[in-house]
Amino acid sequence: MNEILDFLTGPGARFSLTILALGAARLLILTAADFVNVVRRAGDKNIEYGEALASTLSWAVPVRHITHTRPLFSAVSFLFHLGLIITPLFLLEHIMLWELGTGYGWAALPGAVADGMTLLVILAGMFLITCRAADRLRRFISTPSHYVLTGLIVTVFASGFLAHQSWNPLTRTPIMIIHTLTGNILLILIPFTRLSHAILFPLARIATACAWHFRAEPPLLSRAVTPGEEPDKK
Amino acid sequence: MTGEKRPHPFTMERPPAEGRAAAFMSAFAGILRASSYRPILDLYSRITLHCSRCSAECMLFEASGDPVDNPCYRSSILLRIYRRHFTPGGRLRAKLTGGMARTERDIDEMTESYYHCTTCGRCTRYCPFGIDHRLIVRLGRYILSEIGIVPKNLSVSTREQLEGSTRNTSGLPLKVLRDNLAFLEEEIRETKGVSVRFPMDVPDAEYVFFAPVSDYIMEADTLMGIACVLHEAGISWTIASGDYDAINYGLFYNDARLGEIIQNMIREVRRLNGKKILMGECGHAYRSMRGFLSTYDDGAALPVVHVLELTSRLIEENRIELDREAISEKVTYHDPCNIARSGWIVDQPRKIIRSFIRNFREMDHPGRDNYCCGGGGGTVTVGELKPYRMDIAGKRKAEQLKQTGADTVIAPCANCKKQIRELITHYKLPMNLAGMHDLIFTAIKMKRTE
Repeated sequence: MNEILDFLTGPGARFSLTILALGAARLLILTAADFVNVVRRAGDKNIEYGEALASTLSWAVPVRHITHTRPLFSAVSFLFHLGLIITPLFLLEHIMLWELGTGYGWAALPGAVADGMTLLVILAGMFLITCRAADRLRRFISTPSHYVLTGLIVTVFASGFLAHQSWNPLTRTPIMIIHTLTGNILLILIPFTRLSHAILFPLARIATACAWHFRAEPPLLSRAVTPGEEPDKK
Repeated sequence: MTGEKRPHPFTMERPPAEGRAAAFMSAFAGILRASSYRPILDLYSRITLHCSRCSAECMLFEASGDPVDNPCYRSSILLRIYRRHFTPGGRLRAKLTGGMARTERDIDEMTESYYHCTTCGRCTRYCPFGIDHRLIVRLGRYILSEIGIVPKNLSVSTREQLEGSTRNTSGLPLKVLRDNLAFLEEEIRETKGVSVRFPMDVPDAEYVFFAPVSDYIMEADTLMGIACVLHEAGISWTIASGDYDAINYGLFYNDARLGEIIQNMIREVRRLNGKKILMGECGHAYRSMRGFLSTYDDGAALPVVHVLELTSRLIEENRIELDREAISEKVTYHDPCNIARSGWIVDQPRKIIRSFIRNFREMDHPGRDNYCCGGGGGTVTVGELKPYRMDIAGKRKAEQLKQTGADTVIAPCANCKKQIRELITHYKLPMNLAGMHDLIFTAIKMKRTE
């Protein structure tokens, strides 16, 4: 059991982080190159970068957008993302593992705060899954991957939380294996699934601004109705 | 929910009969090859999470509750086809799961959903991921139009504008236009006691003016107000006889048409050696010209000015004077999506209003946050969509108008004017509709005699 755990926190984690880093770099570079090409071919190359950047920053910390639309859903979603990003990066155990491997470390969150944020992610994740499943519309537009990915995040956080509680009724090592295994899977999946929004978010609005700058000669593939032809009567 | 066979929501000139899916895929592939849409489809396919936050901001979904009216779902139809047919992973998965067969049903859903959408862009403003559903709907309509799925009114009027003898969307002959303008000049002389001209084909003018052609038929007061403002400020301007229609339905359904119409108008400006382009009270016409002029103009880009921008500036410079006692009724203002969502024309109309209207009542959700009138995206021209425009698309706007308690609503856009007039009748609202320059025509003090 311990060998498995050692593998998952050692070479396994290094492998997952490498896949994440390479996958993220690939996505960012290819996407940026795509849009450089879009601008290069555009008839009008004056892109409104300033406005797109301002909008991106405003949505990166979307506090002022929360109350406007579906406040409860928006607030829970914001807290979910906040905990999801902050907690793993500033958890003492994660920093220690990093320090062990690289010699570099940084300040950690106090244990109680980390626990609180972990619980927040678990509860918020369950709320988001429930919202999706309970609402007729959102259920209709959801695919299994929506549930699986959020469920995976909840599993990573719940197992990590459970493993460190003194009242945990289960044996610690299997729980830690679940935590590290699901955590590694999550890291690997980020560049290849919908989770890639975490990587591509900074580019999305700028890309949209570029996409409205069409080529100067749009393709005229056919004419819906050729002049002089008798249209079908309907 | 969706999935059931629904009738086509509009009449088409040449509806595709057999093999629609293959034709659609061929058109889609052709457009992807020759355009720059692929990267944005790739990006949106990756990041969309279907959180459905946009549905709370869409007045269509709010009123209908129908998934085809949910912006998330609407975009997902085309994105799904893209993934399934134009990405290696999607193709493999579709082969394994048999997903290819869905396209026929997808075409039906797109036909309905993409022409319910008024492309107002409100959903985009509130999408946490920055997905522009309006761009996807445009592309969907573009592909559909290439296989003949386009409302008859849009294709017929655009063809008349591009290739017909009258060169405008309403089929208004030049001779009739000249008669109408002479009548308007006479009307101004009788009302204001001043001789004001509607100049045509004057070379070297500062502004070449393009109004939606429907204004020349139905919005006499708007045109008279604009002519009086330009006359009073001593501005040189002209209408171009070759292409005088500002309407550009290409913005709504086809990149090629969008470009052709803009190029025709530029040609006229160059023929007359005009210095700037002045767009009349029309939302989409201004957006298409300001947003895409530089794309399709191969020469030095001409400045594009909206008439509300110009009038606001002339008021600030004291070059025109408006009578503050002329309009006593309660007035509200409707922001047309195509000029307000971007923030381009939001403050200018309010500056104009504050300069002469004492009893102004702002609508809820003003400016960039506005709700569409329900007739945007070309849907107002599609007769078969009228029941939908009244009961679903325009419901929110009717409620907003009612809440203001105003006697008059200003809507400086030809499409919005038509839709709001119909809403006023449909919902029996006790108010009138006016263009901004209709009220200016009433209030302007004419001092210049020649």
